[in-house]
Amino acid sequence: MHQSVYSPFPTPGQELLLKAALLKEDDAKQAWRQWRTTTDFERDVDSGSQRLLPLVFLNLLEHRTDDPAMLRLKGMYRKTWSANHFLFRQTANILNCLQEAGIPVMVLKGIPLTILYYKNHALRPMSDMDIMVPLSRARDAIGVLKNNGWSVGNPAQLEFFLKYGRSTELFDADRNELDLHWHPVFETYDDRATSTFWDKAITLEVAGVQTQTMCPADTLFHVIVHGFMSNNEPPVRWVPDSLMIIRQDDCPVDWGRLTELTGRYSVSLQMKEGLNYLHNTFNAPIPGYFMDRINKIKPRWADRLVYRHAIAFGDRSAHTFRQRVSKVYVNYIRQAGNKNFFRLHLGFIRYAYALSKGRFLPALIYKYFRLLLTNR
Amino acid sequence: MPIPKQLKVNDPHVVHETLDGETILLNLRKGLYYSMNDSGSALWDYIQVTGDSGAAIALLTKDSGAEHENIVSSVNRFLNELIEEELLVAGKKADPVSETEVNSMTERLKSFAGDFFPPAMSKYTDMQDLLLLDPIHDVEEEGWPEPKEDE
Repeated sequence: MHQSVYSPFPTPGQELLLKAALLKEDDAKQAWRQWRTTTDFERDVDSGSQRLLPLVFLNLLEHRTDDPAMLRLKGMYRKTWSANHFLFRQTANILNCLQEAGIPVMVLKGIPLTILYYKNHALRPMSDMDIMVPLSRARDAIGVLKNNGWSVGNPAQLEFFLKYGRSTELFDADRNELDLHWHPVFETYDDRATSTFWDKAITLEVAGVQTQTMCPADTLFHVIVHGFMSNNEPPVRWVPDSLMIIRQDDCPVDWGRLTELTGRYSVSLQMKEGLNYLHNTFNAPIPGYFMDRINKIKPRWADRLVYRHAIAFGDRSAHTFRQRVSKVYVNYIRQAGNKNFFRLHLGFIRYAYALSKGRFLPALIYKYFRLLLTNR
Repeated sequence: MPIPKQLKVNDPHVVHETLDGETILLNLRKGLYYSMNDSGSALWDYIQVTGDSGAAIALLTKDSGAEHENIVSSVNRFLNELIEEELLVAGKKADPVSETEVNSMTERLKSFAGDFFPPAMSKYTDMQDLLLLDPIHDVEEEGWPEPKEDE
């Protein structure tokens, strides 16, 4: 089932590393030994695996593992600890600017995961900060950020992103990256859909600044949905992120809420396959009644298409025209909601037109329909 | 320079963590990274928990005989360095500390009294560059933040 190296599911090597990071005693040590014998530490560590190393280090240290590589794993731990402290401090400054401008703010992904679930600045490497504002305040937020030295990474596409996307990248003079979201994922396309995340938000302190983040169920939803999409990085970190949330006793997941989100945003396949994997491989404590409910949700053809695309792509970049069209189409489908086949494809033409700003539309439509016919 | 009797960590500008006998610190305001040796780490942990520099020196010099002056001077030198680097500042720690924590730090510091070696700290100033290092391929065997000699 998990053959593709691009799949959101771990490769055999990544799975060994995950076991070394997340299992106990002999299971962890054995997985580490096996990974060491099958992997050239100097050459074969992909970026997804590298991000797991601080967690591996701490687990192996707790289980008194002796290995010369432990020194470099400890270095990875130190580096992550340092980088994250600087990142969190920078994030706190940004949160202050936005909140002083009266813009509601939420932090997403790595920062809340680190504070609430990993509870250790060294364990969850991240390369940027993710902040969400309501769509209605996104332009204001961009204005505030521009006044504070940030610039939009792709200004030509900003209007498209504001209409159809979920976020935009911004960079400061040192090329630090900030992802400003107005939707957490493509599936929560309209503002009313996103407001549910604000309604259930919980408070959080980032480097001394009070802010908000998603509740545990919403964070788990976000981690899994984000893990099952094409991504620039190997998406394997959805596994430890999810397990950290599920295992946390003081921030329990509201499984009823997760069922509701899964149905509402048509991501039952991602949830079912992802949580089954966590349960079967890492004995994640997922209630049986939840899995029963998720299993009863019947996916639409579009949901199956989105899931298949995630399995086929994982972290693979779209290089060919066919891959690019496929990615654009799936991104569109993800945020198009429950439309009938005709309205869906009418909407896709509008979407493609907005994306290409009309310049390449005829060629795009021709090639798209040719592909569609070829596939059939 | 005389050492203040009560010292505390320069919050929120300084963050620190002790793991596996090593203490690492960041001065976030200045963008500096520090790493301490074993005895420096034990002394740091004792001070950051109790704030009592005098008690730290007393613990380390108990039954030290002829070494007394050497120990006092090296500890004072180390504490002065921590103050100069703005890692510690004069003042009393605000948060209460558990007795268990104090006892644990006391025992750890006492373990250095018999076989004393001077506390020391390494300082790394080029954080921007260090954070760009690949922590597997660009570093020495001891790991980040020690760059390979030929880097």
